[in-house]
Amino acid sequence: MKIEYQDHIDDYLLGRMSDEDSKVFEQELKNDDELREQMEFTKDLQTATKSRNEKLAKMREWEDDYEWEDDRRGKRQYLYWISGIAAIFIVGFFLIHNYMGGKEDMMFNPSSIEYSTMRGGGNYENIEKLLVDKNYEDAMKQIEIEETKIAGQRTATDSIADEERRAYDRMLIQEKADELSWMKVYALLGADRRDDALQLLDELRHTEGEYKEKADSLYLIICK
Amino acid sequence: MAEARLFAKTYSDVAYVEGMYRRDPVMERALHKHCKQYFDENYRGVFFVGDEHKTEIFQESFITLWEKIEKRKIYVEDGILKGKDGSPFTGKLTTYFMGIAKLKFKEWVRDRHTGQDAEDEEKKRKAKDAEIYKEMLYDEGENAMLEIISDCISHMSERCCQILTLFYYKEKSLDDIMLELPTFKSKNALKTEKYKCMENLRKSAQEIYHRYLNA
Repeated sequence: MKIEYQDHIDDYLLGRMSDEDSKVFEQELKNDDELREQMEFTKDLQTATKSRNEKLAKMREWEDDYEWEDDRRGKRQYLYWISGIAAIFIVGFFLIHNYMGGKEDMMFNPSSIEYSTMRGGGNYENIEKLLVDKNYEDAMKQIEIEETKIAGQRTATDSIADEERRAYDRMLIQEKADELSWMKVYALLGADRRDDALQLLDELRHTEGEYKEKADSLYLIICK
Repeated sequence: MAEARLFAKTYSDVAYVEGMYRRDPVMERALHKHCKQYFDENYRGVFFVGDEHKTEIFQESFITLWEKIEKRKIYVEDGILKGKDGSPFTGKLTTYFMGIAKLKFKEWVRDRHTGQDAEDEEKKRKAKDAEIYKEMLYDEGENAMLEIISDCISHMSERCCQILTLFYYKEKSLDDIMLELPTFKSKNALKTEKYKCMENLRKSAQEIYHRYLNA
């Protein structure tokens, strides 16, 4: 293998040679066995490199898809668990309310509310703690920070090419946004901003989702 | 189509091979998933390797299987799956795939443990494996050298792999490659390194050719 041949071979194979030079080179190939052999080897190398890399790229894409599918399956199962537990609590609440203590007037006290913020993860637990500690102003600030993050995530979904995946991601983001709004209602009530809280509750009770019915009940209780 | 892309099903071996040969993206993905599941469930019964290297061995094995289908070393004729010399497949495609994986594992071990075995033991092992390699990895057909080069590329150093990929796959000029690999201070140094990589690859390929196919 001669290093001085390689430049010409590469230029020829990669289409970087003029028509005139190509014709001269093809003539040289006919007359020089060593050049021809080196050319064949380079051609095989080019074919093998292309084939390998194209396959690796596809395989990486599939691996990413499998990971996403597994992740989605995991999230779905998680949501089913949460929904199941929530359903048990709701049924239990109505049973207790109707048969045992339904006649008492309900007094609303934001700091006594327990939140189901499991889906929010660590950040929302902080907000929950601030609300329980009656630190409504800080809770409000934290909620606004999270709302900004969510707005960023919402914009980022525009670049997802896969339609199904984009819709799924947007659904999760909307759920997070509703959860934050729900917490914000408590923070506003705690901070004596009743009108703002009612306005937000009114929006929530007209939005399809997990908090629609809860927001409607709370709205009616407060307005009573 | 989107549904099929997301949720690969299981097909017959004939359908997989025919689909792969026709470059049907759904079947390509489906066979990949099928082999991956089989590999993940069974590789511990064939060899022992950590998670990181398991992926490497799987990828190399799948590329080999894929190229065999592309080059019609494995093909479908009259609805029957056939292999070397036109003889019908006696086992499942996944069993054949695991055979390739086993050989890839042996290569992987050799790449990492050269010099640790006694010389005569190494000779005995090579002689024993020669026939299996000839059977499964390298055929005496017209594209034998291409097949061997494809295999040798997977054993190249990371550095050589980068240079040759950028040059021949991404078709970048030496100037552009220098921007991506700033350790090269001059174009001539890069050109020499590329040439050395090719020369080493060629020597390895020729050695394998003579060892297995002219044995």
